[in-house]
Amino acid sequence: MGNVSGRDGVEDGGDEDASVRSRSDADPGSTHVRRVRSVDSVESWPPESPGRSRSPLMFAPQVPVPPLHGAADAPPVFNQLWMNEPDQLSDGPLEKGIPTLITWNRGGNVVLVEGSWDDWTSRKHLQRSGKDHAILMVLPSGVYRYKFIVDGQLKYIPDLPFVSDEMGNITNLLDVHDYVPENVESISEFDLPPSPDSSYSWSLTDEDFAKEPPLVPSQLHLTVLGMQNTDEEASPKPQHVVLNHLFIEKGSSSQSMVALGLSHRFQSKYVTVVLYKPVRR
Amino acid sequence: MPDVLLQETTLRVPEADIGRFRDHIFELLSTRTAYELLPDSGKVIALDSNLPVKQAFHILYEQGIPVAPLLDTYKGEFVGVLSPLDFILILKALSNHGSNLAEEELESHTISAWKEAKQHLSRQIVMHQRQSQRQLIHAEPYDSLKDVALKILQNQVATVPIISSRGESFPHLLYLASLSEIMKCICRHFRHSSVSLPILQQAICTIPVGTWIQRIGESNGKHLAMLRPNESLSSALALLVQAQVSSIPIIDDHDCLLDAYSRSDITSLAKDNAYARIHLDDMRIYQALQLRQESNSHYGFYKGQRCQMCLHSDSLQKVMEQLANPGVRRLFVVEAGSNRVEGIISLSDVFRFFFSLA
Repeated sequence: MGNVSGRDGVEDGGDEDASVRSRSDADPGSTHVRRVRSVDSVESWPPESPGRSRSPLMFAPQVPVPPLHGAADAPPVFNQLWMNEPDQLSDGPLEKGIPTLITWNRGGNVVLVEGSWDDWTSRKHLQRSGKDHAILMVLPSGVYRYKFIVDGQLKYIPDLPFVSDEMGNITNLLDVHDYVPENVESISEFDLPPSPDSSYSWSLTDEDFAKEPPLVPSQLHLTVLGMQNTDEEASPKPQHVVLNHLFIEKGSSSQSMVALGLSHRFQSKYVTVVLYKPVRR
Repeated sequence: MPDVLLQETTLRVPEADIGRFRDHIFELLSTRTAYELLPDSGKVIALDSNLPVKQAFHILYEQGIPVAPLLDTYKGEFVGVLSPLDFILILKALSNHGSNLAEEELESHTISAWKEAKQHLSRQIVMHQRQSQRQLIHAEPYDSLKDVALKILQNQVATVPIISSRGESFPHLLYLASLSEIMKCICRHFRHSSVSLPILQQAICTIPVGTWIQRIGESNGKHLAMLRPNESLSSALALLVQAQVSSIPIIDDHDCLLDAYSRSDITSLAKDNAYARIHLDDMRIYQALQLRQESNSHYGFYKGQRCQMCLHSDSLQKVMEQLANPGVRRLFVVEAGSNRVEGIISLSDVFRFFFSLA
């Protein structure tokens, strides 16, 4: 399946990818955000081999994707990537490298790119596919400047962010983030379900109070509260199912103080707030 | 040796370079917003302002955090933050009353009652301006990083809560921002720009930033306060308040750095209720440092080390990168080999330099 071309370095293409893709679509409890948007030119890129990378979340597009405003106008995010040269991964610096795709689609025969990632010391060829040229680079998180050399001429892409220095040289600007913000509009879990067809005219009888209350749905046990994290920066990401539910710390019922916890979403980020409150007994 | 250093300091950075650097930083911080500082998934701990101070003290200690925003649940608003300085002042106020610190006193005082008392106290003790402010100092998520940094500097606080309240029915607490994360953002941007900004490669002693002992670098006029380990804890606390510093280097007889006592270390006194059993004048600094060693807090540590050090010859970029590490608020400039203290450079010093504030 797919368009597996005879390029070097492609491994394990074919059926396995179909199962990877369908698994992430079907599983409602998946903790990864699905990047549903597809790309016109995706057929020219052979699908990723599952053994190669950990998660499509680590992919940073060349065109900066704003976290929330104008999400509908954001350029499509590639949800699969093709790791061509393993050497690029292994000679990376101590920092984690993020695969970043740089493309040039304004024509030309031979396109190279040079940038501040190695202090402009080397030029790399972009691979050609029809009218488009592209290269996959693995870069640590940061901001870089770069230029294209198209058939011997220095060029930049005016549609993308660029800067000009004191000498008047213009270079494009690339901001490599170490996380990709979620595209919240594509998360179907945030869509409101339709009301069920039942009628709401039942009246309560006394017997109803004798019954045990229904059990808490097991998904709500997946709260990130109470998870220890030694790293100050990163908390585990809460699942969407536990958002906006108020939790109380176990064992608080006898004390004079109670801990309440809530995870909620703010735009593309998640915040877990724990509040300590006194309780009058 | 000192003569060589004198020569180095005469090679001051040209004003034009400083100006250009400041312009770049200003532009960067004006276009970025506080929202970018938020991690993908973050956790914030808040306290009800009606909690007794004693319990608040213990929560901060157990959770390993130095500061927590205060929620007034009756008003439904955030009204301030509880910080280590509050505890230091409480302990000092209680010990001034002569008796040993009674647990009951701390138990009965709620945080809001303390804040009222602090207002009263501030008219008696000379303190810096923020103590007399009742307004919550906070920032909105779409405020620019420049505004967040200036708020932190002008109010002389360490952190500013990011609260989304515009257009919301109730305030959403999102994050506690400090200069450290803003520095990280700046370093990310300039990591590969050292060619266009030569000031980044200048030695830190040639740049007018930080507090130094004389004849090494530019001094900002403040005397570098240091203490010996056998001095009393109350003298350390008094110095932390009056000198308006957040950390004091602890040195031996040869002025070599042993450790540092910071305001946030006050919460380690909650271990085994130590604050109730000790007298501040009797406890020695080295004993307080030991208590901190035994606490399980990771706050203020980076890679297991409490004191981050640098040399006076290190470049500005290297110093900035070190200050961008989480948990690092200041660097101690030491002499190579002997660890003799030469100066302190804090995050707020560097940001004041960025914004050309005094």
